[in-house]
This record gives sequence, C-alpha cells and structure tokens, in this order.
Amino acid sequence: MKITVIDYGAGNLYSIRNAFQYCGQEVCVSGIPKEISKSDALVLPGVGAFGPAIMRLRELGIHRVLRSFAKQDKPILGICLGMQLLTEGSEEFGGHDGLDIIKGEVKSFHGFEKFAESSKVPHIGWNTIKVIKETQILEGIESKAMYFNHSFCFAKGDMDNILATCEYRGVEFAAVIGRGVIFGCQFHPEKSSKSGLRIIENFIKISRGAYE
Amino acid sequence: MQKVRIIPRLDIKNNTVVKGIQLEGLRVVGRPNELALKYYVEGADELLYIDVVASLYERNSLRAIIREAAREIFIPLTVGGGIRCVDDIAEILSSGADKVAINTQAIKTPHFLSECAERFGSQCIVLSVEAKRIGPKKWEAYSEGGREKTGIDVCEWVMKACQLGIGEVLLTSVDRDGTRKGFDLELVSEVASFCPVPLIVSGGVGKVEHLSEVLALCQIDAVAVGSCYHYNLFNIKLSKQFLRKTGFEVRL
Repeated sequence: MKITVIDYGAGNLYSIRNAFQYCGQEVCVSGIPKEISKSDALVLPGVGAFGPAIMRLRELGIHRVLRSFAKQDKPILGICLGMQLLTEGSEEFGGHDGLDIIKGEVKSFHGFEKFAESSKVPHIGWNTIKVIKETQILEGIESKAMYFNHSFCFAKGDMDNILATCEYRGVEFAAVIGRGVIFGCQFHPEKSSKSGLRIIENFIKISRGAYE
Repeated sequence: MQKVRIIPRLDIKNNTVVKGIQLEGLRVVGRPNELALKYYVEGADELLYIDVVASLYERNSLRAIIREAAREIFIPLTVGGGIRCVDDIAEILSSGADKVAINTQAIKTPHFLSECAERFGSQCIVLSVEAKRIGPKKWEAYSEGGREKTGIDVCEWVMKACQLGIGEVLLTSVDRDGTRKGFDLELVSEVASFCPVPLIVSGGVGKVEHLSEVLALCQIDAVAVGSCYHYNLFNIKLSKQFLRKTGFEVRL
C-alpha cells in the first residue's frame, strides 16, 4: 500500500513522514501528479496562507489528482491548512476557492461576533477537542488535547461532515471534518504527542481497509 | 480556558545543552536529545532549542540535533539562535522544526520579519527578545544572545514587530535568566498588556510558585523553563500538577 505526502512547498513534510514511520508506515513524498495519482492514500499538509497554497496546487496540477481521488473514494488526510484547502474556500486575503471536496467555508477568527475582544491570533497551543461523531479516525484517543496553530478556521458547513469541534475564545469551530474516507484535522496530529499519533495510526488502518 | 504551555528551554553549544546565569558563564548540562526525549515523555508541551554560539558550524550541528529529535519527539519544536536569512529558516523547518525564533537579524533588518512571515506564514515566526532593565519601567533590547546593547526600547520593538507580521513573542529577561529569583514581573506585565500575539516568557524560574505567580498577574500563553528542569529542582509533572491546583488549565 502506498501513502504519499504531497509536497507542494508548504508544510512540515519531514515531521509528517517521521510520524507515519513511527506508526509503522513508510510514506512517499512527492509533488509530481503522476506519482501522486498512483498512490492508495494521500496526506495533504499545509502551513502558511491559503491563496498561495491553492495556487501552487493548481500550478502543479495536483488539484485534479485530489479531486479525482475524492471521486474514487480513496483516503485523504488534510492537515491544518491542508484541511482548509479541502473545503469550498477561504476568505483569507480577499477570498480564494478551495478544492470543494468537503462542503464548508473557512473564516478568520476575527470574523466571528462571539470572538472575545483582545483575543490573540494565531490560536497557538494545546486545546481540547470534543468528539461529535464516533468515527474510526478518532478511535482510541485517550487525551483529547491537540496542538493547534492557525488564524483561520472552518466556519460553517454540513453538520454531517463535522466529526469534532474545539472552542477558542468563544468561537466553536471544526477540529476534525470528514466525509467517507476523506478527513481533515485543523490541529497537527504529527505534533500532538500520543493522541495525534493515534489519529495517524487510525488513518493508516482506514487506508489499509480501503486498499484491501 | 486556553491551556498554558510548559516549554523546556535547551541552550545549545557544541552539541551539548548548556546553562548560564544572565546568559553568561555557560556550564555543560547534558546531551540535547536525551534531555529533549525525557521532557517529551514527562509531558512538555513544546521544546525550545536556542543555539547560543550562532556560527555556521553550530547551525549545521543544531540542524542535525533537530532532525534526530523529530524522529521520535512529536510535539512542536521551536529553534532560535543565529538565524540570518530565509534559507536558514527553510533548512531548519525542513529538518523538523515548526517555528523559528529570531532576534539579532530582526533588529538589524526589521523587514526581515515581514519577509519571513510572508514566505513561511506568521505562525512560524517568533520574535525573540532579550530584555535588560535600564530604569523604572524601561528595558533595552539586547542582541547577539543578550550580549550586545542596541539602544532599542523593548516595548516599542515588540509593538513594531507585531505590526510586521510575527506570530509569537519569546520574552527573556537577561537580568533574571539563570538566577532562579523569579520572572521580572514588571517586564512581563508591561509587554503582556499590549502584545496582540501569543507570549512566551523566559528567564528566572527558581521554584514552582514562580509559574503561578506570573500567570496570575497577566495574560501569557507559555512559560519557558531552563535550570529548574536541567538541574532537577522540580519536574514538568510537578509544574503541571501545581498549576492545575492553583487554578490554571494545563495539558495533563
């Protein structure tokens, strides 16, 4: 089974690869659409701004591979900005369309009325997620504290696709989204100690299940 | 409530962890990744590695340390010391670090901060400030690991850096570092009163009460601890239990 971490110039690829290796799964790292499309499961990382990231995915032709994967019900795990890219779009820096694989939009924390005044952005640090839907991706997690580092969040979308939420300064946002075998984590599972590694293990199991 | 982060601070020289007092007189403490792994297992929320030599040779060996750490430590790694250009940052991040802390180069060329924030994202860029008291409610920013005067006012500098797009501030008191006398509370509360990005404070922890003391005073997001953990005065577990008991949210 081949899991590929997509390299499009954004994201801590080395840490993601280490985390998968630690969980017993070797991964490929590639930015070439042909190679990526031959995979059985994909990981879409992301650190930085939405606009340049989505443009880069389009420039490299990777956006087509991701949409095709989604149509074939093949597993995808989006991490942080990677999760946001899977949605319909983000209002960051003037607004950009996303991959439209999972319904919902991404908004700045500042855009929420409930966002406590003088609250700090980015949301950096450990915060507790609340599981809304029992699913395989969130199985067996002991501590629900995960590491977040982001200024935009998944604002609204089909409630069916929200698997876990988190609250920051009065705003409840989606911490984990999912549809079928396509998932997104707003936090960094590869930096969330044991609980994060468990999510990665779960994704590996789901990918094996889909492969077999 | 936001959980407070406990961040062990590892000052690195010649592939070893060192510890000084007021950033001078460095003593060898131990092997970086042995200590790092120990802290990770004990429940550290993040690790801070600071290269106190900041030469090219040292930077390469620090990258190797980070690469090794990232193989079995799955919490955020923040790395600082000697970061001079975007390539340095790209190399450190691709070695497994999540954030970089910048001091001297930012003071020399402030727009370096906005360049880095645009290229890598604000969430990767931490402003490292070494603050030395020069009068009542006045502190001067020091560069070169707290060794060189700059004539720059700390509060004005932090404000400016936030406008340039940094994601976080690491504030170290040069006067209190290694002394175990507690934080410079006036410095911390002054900066905390206006800082719009998350704030990590460092320099001076000597007993577990110093942690709750600073958190009770003002809005800070993380505490970096050096000597106490390196010399085993008390550990991370005790720190978190104590903070929980005194009413602060921590990741247990």
